[in-house]
Amino acid sequence: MRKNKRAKIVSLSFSIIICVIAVFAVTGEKSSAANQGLVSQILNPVRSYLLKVTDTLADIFSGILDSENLKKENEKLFIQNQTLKSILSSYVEMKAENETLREALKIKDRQNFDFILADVISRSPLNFSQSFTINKGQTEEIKAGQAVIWAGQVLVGEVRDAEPNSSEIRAVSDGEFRAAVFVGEGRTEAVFKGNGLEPAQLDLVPVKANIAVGDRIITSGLDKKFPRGLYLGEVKKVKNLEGKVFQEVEVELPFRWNELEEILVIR
Amino acid sequence: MRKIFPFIFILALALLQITLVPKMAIFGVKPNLVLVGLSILLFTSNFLNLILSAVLGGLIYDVSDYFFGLNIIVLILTFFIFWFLGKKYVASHHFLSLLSFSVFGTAIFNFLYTSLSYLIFHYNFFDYFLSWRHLLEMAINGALTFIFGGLFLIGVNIKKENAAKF
Repeated sequence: MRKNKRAKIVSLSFSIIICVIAVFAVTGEKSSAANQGLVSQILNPVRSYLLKVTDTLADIFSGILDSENLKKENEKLFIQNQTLKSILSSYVEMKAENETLREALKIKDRQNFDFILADVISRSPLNFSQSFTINKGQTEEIKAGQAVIWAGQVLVGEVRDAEPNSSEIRAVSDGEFRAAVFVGEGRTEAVFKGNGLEPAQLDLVPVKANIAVGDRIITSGLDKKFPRGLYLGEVKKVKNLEGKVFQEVEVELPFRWNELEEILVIR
Repeated sequence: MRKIFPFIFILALALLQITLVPKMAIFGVKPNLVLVGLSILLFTSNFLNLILSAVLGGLIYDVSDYFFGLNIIVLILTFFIFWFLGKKYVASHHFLSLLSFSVFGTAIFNFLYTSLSYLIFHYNFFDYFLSWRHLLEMAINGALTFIFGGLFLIGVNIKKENAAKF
């Protein structure tokens, strides 16, 4: 009894499968006509679903059988990916360098400067001095005392010492750095001095001088050390103490010396 | 491997100090990684290895610093004080002494650096030496030595225990 039932189920299943195949065959041959009919409306979703399933199964099996090739292809793609990444990073570097040089070109047109682009290769290891080393030196006509700028006309320091192929740069925040400056629109004369890890200051600002927070500070060129017009920062705090001849002025620098990567030396 | 480990360790720390550490300063204050490294190695390495490591670290510092030679001299002097006075009288293989080595070591190192740069090169760094940032540097160095030195000593002790078992 059970065997008969099983035989019936099997034969029914086979016949359904044959019918389905037959329908597929018919609709496949007359696709345009069948697509418009009721049969296609019912069968198309089933067909597409079955197609997806069979495709997936075929992919899985071909993947298993072809795993060696896939591995090789994967390795190849990985190498290609890394190559493209490295090319992309070099483009990014070139873009940054290009921007720096473009800024330099603008200044060169305005003022008659001659620049050299250099990379920062190390920074002073301890907390005592604020200085860094660049990869250009005497062979590129770099000498002690030359101004070092960044991002257009921002003065970042001066060449402290030049070796044949490298130079030591003293940042403007270093305790030994000094520059003659103009402050604000009134062009009050003062001396900018680095103060190590503390905020930089302005010296010799008379009590009567009208200085406000936010005033721009630029080099005056009166010290014959730096060209006129290089930007140094803004006034951050002004203290006018009673009985004192000069004001105490703190300066906010527009950059952090320890984050510079590329600079320009004015020759 | 065990013999060259101190050199590789100090070399790595010195290179970190001149490249990455300035970017990660806390309130503008940088730790002194070579000093921290020497404090950590003090309990585990021999005299010759340590002194040569100090020279290597000082040399790399000197390459990036303006006062060539000063860092080597100061590191060697600090190390001698560590070895002959600190190790003998202050502490002998006590975990907390790592902290004291680093904190006092920073003060000694900075005092020697400030004094010698003033005497030899006429640069005045006493402002920094007497500032709160110097205290912060001591604290940072002490904390780093305590954390990494602790991990290092735990690692060494586990290794010793495993060796004793077999």
